[in-house]
Amino acid sequence: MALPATAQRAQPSLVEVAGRARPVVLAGERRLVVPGPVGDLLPGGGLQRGTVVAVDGSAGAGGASLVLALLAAATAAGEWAAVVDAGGSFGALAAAEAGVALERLAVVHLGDRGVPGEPGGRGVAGEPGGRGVPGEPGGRGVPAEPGGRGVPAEIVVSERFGPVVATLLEGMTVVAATVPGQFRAAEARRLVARARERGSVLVAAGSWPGEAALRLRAEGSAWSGLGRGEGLLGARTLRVSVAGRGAAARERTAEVPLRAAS
Amino acid sequence: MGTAERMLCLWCPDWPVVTARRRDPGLAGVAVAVLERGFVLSASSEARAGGVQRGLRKREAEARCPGLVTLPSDPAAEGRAFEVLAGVVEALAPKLALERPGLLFVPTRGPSRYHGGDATLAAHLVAEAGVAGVAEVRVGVADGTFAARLAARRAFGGDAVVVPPGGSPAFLAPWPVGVLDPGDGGGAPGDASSLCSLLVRLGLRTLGDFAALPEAAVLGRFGPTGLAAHRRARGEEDHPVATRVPPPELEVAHEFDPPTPRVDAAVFAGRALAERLSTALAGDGLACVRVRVEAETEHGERLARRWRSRDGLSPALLAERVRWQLEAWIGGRPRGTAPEDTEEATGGLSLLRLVPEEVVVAGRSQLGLWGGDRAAAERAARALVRLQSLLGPEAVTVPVLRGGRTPDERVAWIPFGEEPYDHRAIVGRSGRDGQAAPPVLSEPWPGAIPPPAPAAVFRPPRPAELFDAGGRAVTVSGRGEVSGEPARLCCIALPGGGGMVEGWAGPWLHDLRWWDPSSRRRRALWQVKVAGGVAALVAVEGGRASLEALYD
Repeated sequence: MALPATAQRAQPSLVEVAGRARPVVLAGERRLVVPGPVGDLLPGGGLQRGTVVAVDGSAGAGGASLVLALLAAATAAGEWAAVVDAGGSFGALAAAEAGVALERLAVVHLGDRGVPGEPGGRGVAGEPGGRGVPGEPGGRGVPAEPGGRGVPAEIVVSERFGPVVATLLEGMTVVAATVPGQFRAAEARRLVARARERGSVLVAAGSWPGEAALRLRAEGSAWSGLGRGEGLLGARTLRVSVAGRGAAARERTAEVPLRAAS
Repeated sequence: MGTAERMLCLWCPDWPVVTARRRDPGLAGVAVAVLERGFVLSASSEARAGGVQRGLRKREAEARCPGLVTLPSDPAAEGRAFEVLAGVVEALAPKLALERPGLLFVPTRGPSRYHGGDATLAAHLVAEAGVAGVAEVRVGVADGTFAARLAARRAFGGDAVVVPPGGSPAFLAPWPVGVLDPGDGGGAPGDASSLCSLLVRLGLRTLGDFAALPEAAVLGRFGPTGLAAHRRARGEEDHPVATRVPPPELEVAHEFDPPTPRVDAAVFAGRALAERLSTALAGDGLACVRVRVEAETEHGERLARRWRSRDGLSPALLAERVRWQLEAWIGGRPRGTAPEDTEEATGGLSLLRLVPEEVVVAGRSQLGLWGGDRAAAERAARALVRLQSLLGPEAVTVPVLRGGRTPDERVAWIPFGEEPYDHRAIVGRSGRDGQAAPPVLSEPWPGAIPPPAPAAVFRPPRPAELFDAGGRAVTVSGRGEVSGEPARLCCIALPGGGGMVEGWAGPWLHDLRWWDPSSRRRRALWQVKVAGGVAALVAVEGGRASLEALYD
């Protein structure tokens, strides 16, 4: 629509006034700033709250390290984060090295196994075989009994996944979750809505069937420092491709140096 | 002046030791020390004669007192055993409030009139405790809980110490200021102990000296902590006695449907209730210093017990007290201590209720559980507690770093809401809830895998195969000699099922528990990089390779 000439002339100053008059930070635009090279990849230098970030990549390509970098940014800012450890392979030591404040991180173990057994320590799951929900069983959309004996663990995990992540999104600023294979798009939509409503960020690792504001894909990594029988694993460069909406619509690939552990 | 209520304090010294001896009569007359996290919590008189003190390390205590029997502390059993005594006291004087197992307070105004004076009431209590099988109880009566506590400390040899009404300030005056530091589990010791040492350095050595200072000056110089200590030194209660009776809507309850006979289920609900109560009170700017724990069983029995804490019951403290009480009620009859007894409880619990009886303005009581942004922490805690009620307490954990060799060993998974403790060193995590951080023991761990840590740690490790250039499996001899250089790694957890080894480091040889033939383990670990830039941690144990972790 063509504007009258005076209005066209007025437009730049109107835009400027609008920029000055709006609130400093709109609730929907609050970002969790991610420092370092990973942040440089992200539009606006951080994670937009209320969105879903999908992180993908083959095993060993560096997807888990990308997730840790995002978690580190959130907990360093004083926020709480949770990890839904569907595969039972979350590396807490690596998380600490990546800068995650472990005292503000909770790890939820799905499936029958409960807490991984540890030699001589406390906190070994009291009831293996998944019979124990001592609290209040029933009635909140989660199968209280994990399927009893005959049901495979993967099915238990995928049935619980949605409600567990939804609960975590209520209280945590960032929830990182490994998406189980059979997770359906309809449930994914529900989680997207929940994240938007609560202003929290869901970092979905694996194949995320829903929409995502940002898709990161670890394409592979190059290690330095390790030779044939000499040296140690040292610095690492990740190759990451980024795609998304808005400012990040154009897919691009970047090399991300991860700092060598000190 | 004279605002403090007349209180009777009943104190059983070294209650953890007494409990242990009740369970195992063979310990009578032996030097016994009860340990908590490797430090002496409580010692018998024989052990103290040998130089064992509270707070000593286990090794040091054993060195000072040869033949010392050390036992781990068991707060649940202590709570159960003390419940028997609380029942005895309650029969003589109602309205008692427990501070911790081994220490309780009773307001004496009514009971003393009934029994014919404080001294007679105290004598009755000592006699009844003796009938109940508790030999050493110390009873003190005075105006105010603090003075009563000190009077009980002075009551050696079975006779109660009764400070006459109005005599508390004079009774307290000669005590050294050090007694203001609770030091025995009565809340936040850090503040009080620094205050005590400061007072001594200022030349105020006795409570009388301190009490003589003007109140306004104390508040100005030492803040609210100092003011509370000053009130205590003057023989008054910490908080002005004008206690607010909390409105009934602040009480929280949980109905068990069906009624539960299981302690863990009840304790779990109790913890959630404690959390809810603290949140509700904090919303009104209040903190609870005395709470009534009520329970109803399916047979219609009603149980109630009061707990108090001088410094306000934080969510963690409150949850701990509720747990002690529930263990005492349904954790089994006093005759047994084995956990199997839990199934024998006659009636299941149908209702649990927490009623705040005395609240104070929460300026001083820090209710934050983890520090940092309190609102965010509480929001997070609510979500996590809800998940625990769905998945079980063990499914929601907080990782804690500790000593160890492999990335898996270096992490302990503590169920959310429980105190992180472990006989191994805990590093990298400060204490919670105002408590001092646990000691950091950085023992050397020979053969520890150097950083970086792998981001994916398989629990249990995934089966794998590691071949040398000749296609034979790589093995390690008993002397740590490697049969060949790694050349190919196969594992289904790797993309493409594995590949040729491009680089490796190691092996790190671990000889674990070599002193015990039945649990001895020997293993060798390599950092391996395979084609495609994938790095992994591979272990060989007993001739079998496995993928421990992936540098994902």
